[in-house]
Amino acid sequence: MTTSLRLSAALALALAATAARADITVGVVVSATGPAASIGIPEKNAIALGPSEIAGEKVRYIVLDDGSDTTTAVRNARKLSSEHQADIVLGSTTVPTSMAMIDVMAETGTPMVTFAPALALTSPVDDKRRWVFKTMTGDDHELIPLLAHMKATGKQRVAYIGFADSFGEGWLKTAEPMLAEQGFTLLARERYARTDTSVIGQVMKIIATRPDAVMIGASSGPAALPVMELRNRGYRGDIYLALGATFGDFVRIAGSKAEGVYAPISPAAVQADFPPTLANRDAVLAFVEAYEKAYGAGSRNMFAGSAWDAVQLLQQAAPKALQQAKPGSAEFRAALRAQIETISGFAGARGVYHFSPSDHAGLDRSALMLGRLEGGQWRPVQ
Amino acid sequence: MKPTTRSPLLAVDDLHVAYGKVEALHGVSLRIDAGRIVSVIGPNGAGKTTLLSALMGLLPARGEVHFRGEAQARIAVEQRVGQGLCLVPESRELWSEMSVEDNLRLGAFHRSRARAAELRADLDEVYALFPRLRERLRQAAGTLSGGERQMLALGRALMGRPQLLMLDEPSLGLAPKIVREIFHIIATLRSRGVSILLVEQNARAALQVSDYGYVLETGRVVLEGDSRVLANDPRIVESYLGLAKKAA
Amino acid sequence: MTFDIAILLTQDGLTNGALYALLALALVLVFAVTRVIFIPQGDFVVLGALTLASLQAGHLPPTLYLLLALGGAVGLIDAVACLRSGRAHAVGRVLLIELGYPLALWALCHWLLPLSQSLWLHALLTLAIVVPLGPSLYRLVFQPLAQSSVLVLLIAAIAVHFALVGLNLLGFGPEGVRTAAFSDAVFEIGSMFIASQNLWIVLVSAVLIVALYLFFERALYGKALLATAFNRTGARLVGISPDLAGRLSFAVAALVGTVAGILMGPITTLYYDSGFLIGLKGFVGAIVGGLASYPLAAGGALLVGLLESGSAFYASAFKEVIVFTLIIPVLLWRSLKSHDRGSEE
Repeated sequence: MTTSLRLSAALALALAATAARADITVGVVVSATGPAASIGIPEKNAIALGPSEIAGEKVRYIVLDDGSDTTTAVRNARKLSSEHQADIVLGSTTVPTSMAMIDVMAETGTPMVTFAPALALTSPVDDKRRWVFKTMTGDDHELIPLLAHMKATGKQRVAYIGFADSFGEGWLKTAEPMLAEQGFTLLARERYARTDTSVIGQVMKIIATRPDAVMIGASSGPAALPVMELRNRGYRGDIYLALGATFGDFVRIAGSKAEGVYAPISPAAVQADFPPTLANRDAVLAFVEAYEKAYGAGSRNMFAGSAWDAVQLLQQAAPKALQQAKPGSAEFRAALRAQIETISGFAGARGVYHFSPSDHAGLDRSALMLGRLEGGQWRPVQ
Repeated sequence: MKPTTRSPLLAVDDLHVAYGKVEALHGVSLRIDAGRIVSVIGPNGAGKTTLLSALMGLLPARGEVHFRGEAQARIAVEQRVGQGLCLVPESRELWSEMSVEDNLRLGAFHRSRARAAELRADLDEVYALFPRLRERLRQAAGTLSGGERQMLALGRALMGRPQLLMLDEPSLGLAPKIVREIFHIIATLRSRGVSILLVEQNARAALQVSDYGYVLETGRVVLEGDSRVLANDPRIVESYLGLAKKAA
Repeated sequence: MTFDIAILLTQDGLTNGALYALLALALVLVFAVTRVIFIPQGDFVVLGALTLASLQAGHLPPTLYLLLALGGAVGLIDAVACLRSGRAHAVGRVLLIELGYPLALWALCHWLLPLSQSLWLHALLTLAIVVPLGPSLYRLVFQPLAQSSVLVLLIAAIAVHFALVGLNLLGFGPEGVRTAAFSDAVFEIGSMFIASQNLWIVLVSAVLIVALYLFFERALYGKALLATAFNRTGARLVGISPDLAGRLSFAVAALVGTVAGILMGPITTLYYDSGFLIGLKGFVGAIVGGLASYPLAAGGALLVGLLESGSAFYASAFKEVIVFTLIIPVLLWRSLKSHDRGSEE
């Protein structure tokens, strides 16, 4: 047998395999290693719980790791489209990696559901972003329950301290117009670096302005520094933190000094009895049950919730898309995109989704609720 | 006076030193007996400083060097110091930021296990030899005059109680009066049992003070002999002593 | 700004400044003796704090493994060197010191940890574990490069820094730590409050600076270090080995870094990679002293501390910018007035 003959035989086999495969192919890109690994791994775990069949069609998951690196994320996106003919791509974990993948998705006409927070990923819905949806809350979601509580408890004068980087600046930029709109006065805008060892100067300035409340645009362990300094310097007013403080090292480092601080929390991450009024109560319980059955009691978290919801959205959209085209075709991908766009009022683990041709961020304004740190645990405030 | 046949203090055989590919010493051999002053004279660039640096271990060299019967090839500078070899380089290498007394005390660094009283006695001895250093003991070495710096360099070397003291151009850049003083001190050192290898351009003074002499030219020993014989050798008189007279 | 706030900011600035001053002095010393710009200086701060934290948590600190690994490597190299120079009899002694010390310390930690919760004991163990890493690093990395240019040494120092950060992450994990305070007491003087931890920092730093001064002024080995710094050849000619001086200076740097880490642990959260920025602030202080003058370096470091707390109050968004911009006028001023740099070449 000549080489060319062997080659054509192999090619024929490969073609046969493609033709025979009417499965729905789900490409997944997560940051399972690298700096964002602690977020990417639960997402990967949640994807593993996805259904093996939707509307009678087999579902094939191809999970690739981008190592928290944008170049790898793009390479993975391309690989999923060209080699695996992915019908939809879920991911990636971080804002930069997701941002980098958008071009490939738009070019190949593949719908993408990202787990990353930034609003800029889906807004405005232009030629490229019409392919992108997201299942993660943004800064605005975080600020809604915080501001509502501040309003309800009669606070007026507010001071801000946050990271001197894109995280802190993004949070502040979202907060400023919302504060102004609701009639709050922003007295001080202080910054510090994640690596700083002291924030006494900033805290003294904040205390000198006598604020009713202090908002902290920081995440994880470094968010503890201003909280501790405020309490050490005798500040007794309420402190409001970003969602980022509800995971990572914050509670361990701040210890008892952080008792009673407020932060937005996701129902998907909280160990508590939810009020029956919670719109997505059943969806949260379904997610928690499935996830903790697989990964152990107490393993629930909001990142897994976002990935779980991405699969849920696919499950909602795929049956109708299957009526219009066969998986593996450009038509099917376009139909899938169009179907996701029509999902409205669907309750997922992270909240209720309302997609529309002009809004691909989806999540309801009430996706996050107010939490309070009590006895080292984040508890929902009724 | 020819070197005796018993084991000399320092024996150098066929020493080659190269800077990169350029060889500066082409097989130098010499020996120094205990209690002697041996001088090496020669013109600028003959390789005299190179010779001393190699003997001290500051430059890598090929050939045999035995000090007190021990091969030196794989021994570092600091260990040679510990064995009793000491170099006073032409550039003195003093610590100009430190006081005179600190310079002297550090000279005894490798004898740091010696008793304090013993070190004190050595210090007094150096001050006796160089009274001017005692007057300036708190002064920074960098503020001393050229002659005082040379005295300090000598004193620092003596604090190490060397068996063989190697002096590189001790008279360089000094006023004639100081030069006479320095050479006088060199002569008294011998009476204390210190052997000396003296490298000098000032051939007349060197031959006067030493017992034996070598003439180094372009990296080779071209002549050697008893100092008094050398001093009268017509070749030496013609090439070096006339010149040295003017310099001195 | 009221008087109270000014006092508080000054207090904060002086506290941090005292720590930066310690680091600045160590940086100047290491540079003067070995010509190494010791980037990992801050990593020793972190090593000290993290090691103390893991002792306080009742764990055997992973630093012990590092000590054992470095000790083993140094032992091996020195043993080979002994064999080569025909001193076979010294091999046993070398191995005994390099491997015996970490193993003995290991056993000691095992034995003492369950017995006592004393902060002093933990601090002493931390010093015993972390400080020998300094000389070992010198022996392994910098001694073979001793004849290289400042640039090569700097690159090696950066490599060591990244290696230490990686090892810290591996050994201690990404979580930040805060160690227990020496005491929680707060003193009230007039209208101002002084946290006793801040007093501890300033006092211990001052004591250490005086101790270093006496070491250089009185002790023979201190003078030998200075002598090597001032004139390497001169030092060799009286029998001061540059290798010895290098190891000694790294030991001093490691000691200073570890003490700074032990002091800093209770007032701030330190992460595996916090060292670089802390070291950098000490470095700015050292630059003010031209990497040569000890009093100027200490003064510069205090200035950095004060500037830091002041700018955190007035313009927190530009704090780092202000602190690090301090280098530019200082360098300008130094380059304008220094024409006699040749003397040390």
